[in-house]
Formats: sequence, C-alpha cells, structure tokens
Amino acid sequence: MRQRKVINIVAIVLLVGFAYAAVQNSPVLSDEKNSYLGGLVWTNSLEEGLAASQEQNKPVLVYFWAVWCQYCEKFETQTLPDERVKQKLNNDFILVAIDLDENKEVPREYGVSYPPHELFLDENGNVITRIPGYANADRFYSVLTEVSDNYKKPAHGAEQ
Amino acid sequence: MIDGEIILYLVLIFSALTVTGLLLKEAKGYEHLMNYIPWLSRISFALLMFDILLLAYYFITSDFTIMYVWQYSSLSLPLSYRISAVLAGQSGTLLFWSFVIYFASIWIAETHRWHNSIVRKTQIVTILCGMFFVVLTIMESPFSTIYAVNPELPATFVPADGNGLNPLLINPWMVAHPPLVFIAYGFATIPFAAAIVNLLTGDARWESIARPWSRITWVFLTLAIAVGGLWAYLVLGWGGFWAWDPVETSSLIPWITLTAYLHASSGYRKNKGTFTTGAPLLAIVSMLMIVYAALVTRSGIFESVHAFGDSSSGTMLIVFMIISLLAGGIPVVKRFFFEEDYPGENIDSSSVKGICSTSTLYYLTTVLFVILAFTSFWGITFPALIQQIEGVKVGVGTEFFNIWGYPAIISLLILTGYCLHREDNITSRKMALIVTVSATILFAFIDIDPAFHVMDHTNPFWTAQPPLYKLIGSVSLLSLFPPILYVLAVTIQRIVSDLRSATLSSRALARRTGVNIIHMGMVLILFGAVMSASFTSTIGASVPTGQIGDYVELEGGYGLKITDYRIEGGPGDRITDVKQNPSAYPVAGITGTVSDIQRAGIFLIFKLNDGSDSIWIASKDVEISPGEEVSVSGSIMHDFESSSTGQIYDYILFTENVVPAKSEDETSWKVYIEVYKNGKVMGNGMAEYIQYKQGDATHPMVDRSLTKDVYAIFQGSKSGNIPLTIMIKPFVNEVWIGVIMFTLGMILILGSELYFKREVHSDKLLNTISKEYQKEGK
Repeated sequence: MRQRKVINIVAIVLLVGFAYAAVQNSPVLSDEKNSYLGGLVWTNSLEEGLAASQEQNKPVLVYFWAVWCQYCEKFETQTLPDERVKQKLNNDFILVAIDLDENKEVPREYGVSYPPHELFLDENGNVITRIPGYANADRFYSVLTEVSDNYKKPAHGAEQ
Repeated sequence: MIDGEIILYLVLIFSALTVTGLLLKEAKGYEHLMNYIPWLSRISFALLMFDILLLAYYFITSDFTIMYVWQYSSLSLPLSYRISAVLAGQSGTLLFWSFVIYFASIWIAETHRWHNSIVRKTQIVTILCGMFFVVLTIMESPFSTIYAVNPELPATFVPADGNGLNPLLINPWMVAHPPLVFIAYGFATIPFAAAIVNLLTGDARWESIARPWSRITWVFLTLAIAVGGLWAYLVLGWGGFWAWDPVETSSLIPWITLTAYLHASSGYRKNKGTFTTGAPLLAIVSMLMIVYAALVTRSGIFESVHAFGDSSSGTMLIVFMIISLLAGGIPVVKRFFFEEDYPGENIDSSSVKGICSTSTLYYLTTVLFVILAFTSFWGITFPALIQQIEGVKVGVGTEFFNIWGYPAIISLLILTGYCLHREDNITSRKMALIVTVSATILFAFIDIDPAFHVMDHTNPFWTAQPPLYKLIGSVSLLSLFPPILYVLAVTIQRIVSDLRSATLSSRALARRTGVNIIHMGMVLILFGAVMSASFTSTIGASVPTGQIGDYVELEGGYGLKITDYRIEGGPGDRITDVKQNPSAYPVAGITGTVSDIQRAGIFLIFKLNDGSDSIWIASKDVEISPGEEVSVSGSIMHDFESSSTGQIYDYILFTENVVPAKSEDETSWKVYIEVYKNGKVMGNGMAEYIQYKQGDATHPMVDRSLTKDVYAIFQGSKSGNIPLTIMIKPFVNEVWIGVIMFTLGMILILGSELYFKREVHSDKLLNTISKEYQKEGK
C-alpha cells in the first residue's frame, strides 16, 4: 500500500506535468492569413476566392487540410515551400485554404472526405482537376503548370 | 406502413417496466414478479431486433421515402453494401448500438436463468444504458420520412434514386468495420454495469460477470481498430495505417484502458483485496472513453473521415458521461480514501515483497497504461479545448504521440518482460532485468539512421522543437529492441516450459498459452509499426503514356514497368474530341453503344457510338451483341486497312479490354504495375483511382510479403502522364500478424473458461464467493 500510494502520487504528478508541458510546447498555428500553410497567403472563404478569380482571370486552388493531419504537414513543409511551386502559386493562382474541422459545406459540395486534398476550380466553381492526398513538389508543380497553361487559353478552359 | 419510431417508444415502455420490476424484486423481494420480468425483457429485445430488421428491409427494398435510406443508399449499390449501409450514418449506428446492449443484457440473464441477484442488478444498469441509447436513436430517428424532414414535399413524391454511399465506404473492410466497432461498444456496457453495481453495493461477484464480456469486448475492439487501419491503408491512399487523427486515436483510448482493466481485474481475481477501486474504475473509464470516442466522431467538435455532420446527440453523450462519472466516481473516491486495502495483498505465492512483489508490478502496469491512455486522450482533447476557449489553432502531429507515448511504452515492455519471466532464482531474474535496462539505455544513444529516432530527424520541424521534445525525440529507436527481445525470449521460455510441464491441466495450458501469444503479438505490432514508420522508402514517378510497356529507370536502383493502363466506365473521352486531335489521346477511354459487329480473323471489329460521333473498335474475340453498352480503352490508328475485311477504317481504336459500361457516375482508371529493384521484379499489381458521383477513392497497389509491402498510389491522370508514388514499407504485415495473435490468444483464454463454463458460472461458485466476501466482513 505504501508503494501504491507512492506510485499514485508519482503518476498524478507525471500526468499533470505532462498535460501542462504538452500545452506549453505545442506550436500555435493561428493567424488570419493562414500563412503557416507553406508561408503563402490564403483566404478561408471560397466566395472570396472565386470573386478574385473572376477579377484576375486566374484559376483557384482550394487546399483542404486539418491540424491533426500528418500528410498535410508533409505537404506544407516539403511541397509548398519548393521555390518553383511557391512562385507558380503566388503568380498564377488564387489560394483558398479550407480547414476540414471548421468548414463542412465546401468539402461536402465537392465530395472531399479526407485531408489533404487539392482541388482546382475555374472562376465559376467548376472542377478543373483534383489531387486527392499528398503530392510531392515535382508532381504538384507539373499539375500546376498544366492547369495554369490551359487556363490562359479560354477555348480550352475548364474541362467540366 | 409500420412506424419504426413507435416501436422504439414501445421498447422504452417495456424496458421501464423491466427495470421497475427488477428494482422491486431486489428491494422488496417480490418473488412472483420473476414470472413477468423475463418476458418484459424478452419483448423489448425482440422489438428492437424487429426494428433493426425493419431498417435493413427498407435498405434492401430501396425505400427512398425514408430519409436515412435516401441519404446512404442508391439503386446501383449491390445488395451487400445496401445492407451494410444500415450502419453508414449515425442514427443507424445508434439503433444498432442499442440493439447490442439489449442483446448483452438478455444474454447474461438467460444464461443465468434469471436466478442470480448480481446478474439482476447488472441488468438494471445495462437496461438503463440501453434505454439511454434508444432515446438517442429516437432523437436521431433513422425512420424519419423525407416528408417529415422536408414538409414542402408533396406526399406523392417518391425519389427515383438515393443519394448513394460515400465511395470511400464501398470496400469489404468497411462492411466489417462498423459492426465490429458497435458490438465492442455495446458489449463494454456489461463490465461497466457490473462495476457500477460493485461500487454502489459492494458486491464482489461483479468480476465474474464482467470477465467474459470485457475479454470479448477487447477482441472486437482490437479487430475494429485493426480493420479501420487496414481500410485506411487500402482505400485512403494515405500510405499508412495509422495517422493519429482524432477518430483513430479516440478508438485506441478505450482499448488501452480496457487492457489496463484486464490486468487490474486479473489481480483482483487472484486476491479480492487488491484493485478494489482500480478494477471497477477502469471498467467505468473504458465505457466513458467509448462514449467519448462516439462524441469525437459525431459531435462536431472534431471532424475527420467519419464526417457524419453535426448532431444534437453530442450533448446527450456528455450528459451520459457526467451521470456515469457521478455514479462511479463518488463511491470510488470514498473507497479510495476511506477504506484500506487488505494487508495480505500478494496475488501469487511468490515470496517477494515490497516494490518487486507481483501485485505492485501489476499495479505499476495498470498505472502505465493509464498514463499512456491519458497522453492519447490529452493529445486529441487539448487542441479542441484551446480552439473552443481561445479560438486559437494548435498543431498536434504524430510527433506529439510518439514523444509522449514512448517513455510509457518502453517502461511497459520492460515491465512485461520482468513480470512474465518465470524463474525461481530471483537473482537471475533481476540480472535479466538489469541487462535489458542497461542495453536499452545504451542503445538509446546509438544513431544508425536520422529517421530512426523517437522523432524523425529528417522531419523539417525537428530543429525547431522545444528542448523537452528534443530530449525525448533524440532517443534512438534502437532502444526498443532490447525490451522487445526480452519479452520475446521470456514468452518463448514460458511456452516451452508450459508445453513440457506434466502437471498443467489442459485448461491452464490453453489459458497460459493464450496469455503468452497475446504478449508476443504486442511485441510484433510494436516492431512492425516502428519499422514501417521509420524505414519506408518513397519514390515518385511520372510515366508518359507513350512509355507503357517499357522499363523506366527510377532513383535509388528502383525501376518500374507499366504493363497496362485502362480507363473504364464513366462518360469517358468524347469521340468527336478524340477524332479531332488523336495525338492528345495516347490512351483514349470511350463508352458507347455497340453496332455493326464484324469478324476479322482473330479480331472482332465493331462500331461504338457515344452520342457525339461513332468510332471503329478492334478487339480480341469477346461476347458482345448490338445495342449493348460497353467501355473500351486503347490507342487509335488512322486510316487502317484490314487484310481480313479488306476495308479501310478512318479511325480505329485497338483495345485489349471490352467491359460492360458502368453507370455514368463511375469512372475508373487502372494501372498495372511491375516494380523492380536492381533489375529484379520485387512486386506487382494494380493501382486504381475511381471517381464517383459523390467523390473519389484511391485503391493503391499492395503486394505483400513477410518482410515488406510494395505499395503504389495512383491518384488519377488527365494528361499524357501517369503519376505514381511507390512506397516500400518494411514489416507492415507483422502488425497484422500481431493483431491475429491478439485475437487467437484471447480466444484461447475465453475457450479455456468456456471449457469449464459450468464450474465458473454456476451459481454455486458465485454464492461461495459471496459467502467468502461476507465472511471477510467487507
């Protein structure tokens, strides 16, 4: 019993210490522009994105993610920071980031069930193409080039 | 039409009568009530079973006037998936969950022939839980009609087709997963109810009621988690089976606490004076964590693959947790602080006392399990709390669970080895422990690969980690191997000595072998999980469709050959587009109506019309008839002259596969792959990407072997390239083998008790225990 009381006290101290340390040590992700997603500037609103797309004649990239998603983390730290990808995204795309824990309407509308998911839309919200899941920088860049090249020629615009 | 909802109200009425009857019997001893109570209870169970069959019937007959059926089914869905769609949404699962609870309640009563007071008391709590879930089912009613949900619909309107099942759920593993989950969840009610009875009345017989149910629950929960992981591995194309997302993690927490309970209750069984608070508390916590898992998947606080949407049942689940916490918590606190454990606390005959006594080690084991469960619980909970309270998003990734879980796991492994080590000589037992611990500490510093640490050093976040994370994160995973070998060696020694033993009864042999197999399984799972997570090689490839059939050299000595590429179903490519610019379609996929069938030697030539235009198709001889809808894919030739028919075909598509057209809502891209390493084939198979009306699904290629899986993800292609991600994952299958060992081991343990079932379950034995416990004056 004495040993048990000691074990109990040690366990409780460990748990409280852990709970506190866990909260203190976790990276905080919040800022208005979602710039933690690969250091780019994203909007959270699809309507805003589509409006900007009409204005600037650029396709929309909708990136679906979640804080707990490890393949999103990989995508954000290995694919998005790639120089070619970053430049292409900044110049030729309207960026929309949808947190699957917060926004349930947009994923449902486009049949997105799990993160990560990269969806390319034209200015009317029609699907051009999509990448379900993680894509490495090479693959992602080739899709980006394909989408933006075709987008500039209105005759061969959206597929759907 | 029979209204399933009214039947649910009837279930509530009959259950309330049963509970009242049982309470009166227990409190006032009205013997004649026992003529009615069994029948009241049986009727409520039968009504609930009828309701579940009724819902299945609506799915089988595709009655789309029922909202729930419309939401999750469609005419094109095969019968098996239409039946499994009963558990596709939350109201159906709630109905099934209630059904399982009632099943368990009626089962314990019938097997004890309604004679036993501890069974009756347990049944009261079980039925109360069951009633709670019936109320939840009524709130979320799976029987609501579309007219009730949308009052503006005219009463004559009948939908032609349903919304359809989420394509991710169209998979055999997903047929098995929901029933496994909810059978486990339902069965966990019995240990929970028995524990509550023990805490409220002090009845010591509760453990023998809870024992078989906690073990069966553990088997179902193990399988449910494994099947869920396997599904993620085979369908999501995430490239792994475990992602520490809230849904997977929340199902693991009750598994850990239930495992802790199994250890605590085994201590309690050997000596009724130990674990008097720990064992019932863990049974209750396991149930609470199950309810928490249900809350996580459906309340809207978290969202994941199980995107069931918002629901009011979340609040009710919280109410359930609070009531159970109060019912269990108050007696626990009272018992813990105001009642002493028995002085003779040792649970075996060994002479060791103090910190190394078996009961203290058992205690330490359960405490470590609780710590492990808490780290997982906190990892999914505090980000949600912070987001609710402060509106701030906090990142909790895999490394959180790895870093915080590792110390508990390594301690548990060492403890397992020490506890299982059967050695009369205490000095040599201690020697083995000291050697293992020293080797573990030594190996913690051996760096064989940057990825082979508690936290992967190739992770881009590694350098930015806080000091505490760096400290644990820099431990080499090699440190896992001395404890793994220790446990393996000890269990093998036990199995050998048990098999050699002449005195062991066959029942004891079965039980002990079961225990040994389970602990070996644990070691295999840890080994497979750590190896596959640390040493997966990923190779990206993009093969032009022009290179189909050619060997393509990849990085790292790997190579790839695409042997075939097919597009099936869907609207496919439009024939007018293909004819206008054939070079843009190295492989064209076309769906249309067959006409003008001709034979040309070994070929069959026919015309296909998709509404936009028509095109000639040449294929091997297949059984088709005019008017049939088929899909073909292949390459196109211009102005082809056939020597057999003597005709010149302006455009002709050569295909190797003619398949019946699927519905327009479904298009599938299939890539047949051979993966090479140093010029030798190391794996082959087919990777598929399917687009449905409701979304898409990725079916990676998986070529399994004992040492590795060759895994290839294909996520569709709309250009002239076929993008592929190839992964070589070492020792994944050891995880599944471990899961099978868990199941087999527990079946052996259950079987050993079933063999002596009469002895264990007889009222005589229960009464003996009861007398003993009264004698002890507790």
